[in-house]
Amino acid sequence: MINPIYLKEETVRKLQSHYYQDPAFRSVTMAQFFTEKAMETILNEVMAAEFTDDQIATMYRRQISQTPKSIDTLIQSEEFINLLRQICGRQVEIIATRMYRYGHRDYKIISDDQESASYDIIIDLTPDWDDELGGFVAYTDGEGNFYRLGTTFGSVTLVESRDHHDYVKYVNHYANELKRYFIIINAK
Amino acid sequence: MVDLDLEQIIQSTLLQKWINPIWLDKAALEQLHQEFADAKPFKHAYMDQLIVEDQLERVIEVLTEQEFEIKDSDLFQLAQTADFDDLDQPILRSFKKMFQSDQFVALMEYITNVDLSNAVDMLGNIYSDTDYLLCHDDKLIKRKVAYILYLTDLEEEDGGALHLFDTKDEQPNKIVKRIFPRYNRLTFFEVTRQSFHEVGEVLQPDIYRVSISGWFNNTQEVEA
Repeated sequence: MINPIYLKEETVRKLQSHYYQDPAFRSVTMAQFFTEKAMETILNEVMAAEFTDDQIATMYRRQISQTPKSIDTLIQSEEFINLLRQICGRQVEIIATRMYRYGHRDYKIISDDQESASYDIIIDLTPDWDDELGGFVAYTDGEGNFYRLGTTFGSVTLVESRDHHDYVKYVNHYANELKRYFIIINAK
Repeated sequence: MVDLDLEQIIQSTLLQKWINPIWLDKAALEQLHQEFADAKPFKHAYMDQLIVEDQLERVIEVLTEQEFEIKDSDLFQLAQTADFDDLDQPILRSFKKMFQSDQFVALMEYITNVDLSNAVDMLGNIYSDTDYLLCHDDKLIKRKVAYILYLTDLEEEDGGALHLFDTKDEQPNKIVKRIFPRYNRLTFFEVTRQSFHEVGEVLQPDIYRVSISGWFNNTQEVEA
């Protein structure tokens, strides 16, 4: 289900290089990560998923759902785990995965109580989203430095998240009925 | 704590220069004191038409010429001035001096029944289309009473209201009160670990929620 370009040695080398470019915040975004057929299956599962409200006003407001089966299959696959290991140079073990939906008035604030995973993997499943609406994922190191992820529809982003806290920017009223969908995988 | 009785506060020439006479009235202040104490979900109140009109116009004229820095984080999005102490503007400094005078602090102590010192923070704010401040409690050791003096009118459909949350298990639960910005309205509330509030998103282009806000502090008190 992975776009074959991401399984080529040359591509992996480029991804490694990109990942290590900024030592203060290591991340790499892989656009069009899935094959067309896999993307279609994932989207169908996302649209059929049932979401429930998840809200603590001082921390977050959003809806959550179980991860689609196709994504469960992906994260259990050897080729996906190998790809992550090759990019970051360490063995990566998935510890949690969840699907989120953000619409108007939704957000996630940085929480000091929140324990950071070593790595976050963000799968962006939102067609036609403009970051001017908010709803983008960003990280901060707590020293005034902010790192906004440039995720796009169908992209997978690997972030070394230890020592950083993530937030999702408040979704403003121009989103109207549009919703943003993410799957966030925590790993160590 | 400032040692002035209500009569001395009301007779203050400084307050008579700045404060609308309707609020320098014993019965009005006694009623407000009771409203504040009884308010839900936490102690709060507001005073409409608080500042003498021509004085407020002078403040606004200078304030709107100041530099407002864009503040953008996970928790808020707005534009804000530096503290009025750091702005080289006599009228803004005079306004702040009035707020931190013994007489005005004593007035706030009478209404809120909270011990305050003369340390007051004061900043100018502009919330424009899509700006917001998400739910928080304002709690820092020295902050005792938060205040907002609105300088523009916003209607319900404009957004920008102050939302007050009730609590469940010491966490914010639901918005149970909305206070709308009205020109020359001073809204204030006691800052506690339960004073959860937010500023709703401004929902219209060309609508500006302009305010002066800050905190009455107690710098003598050290929290255990």
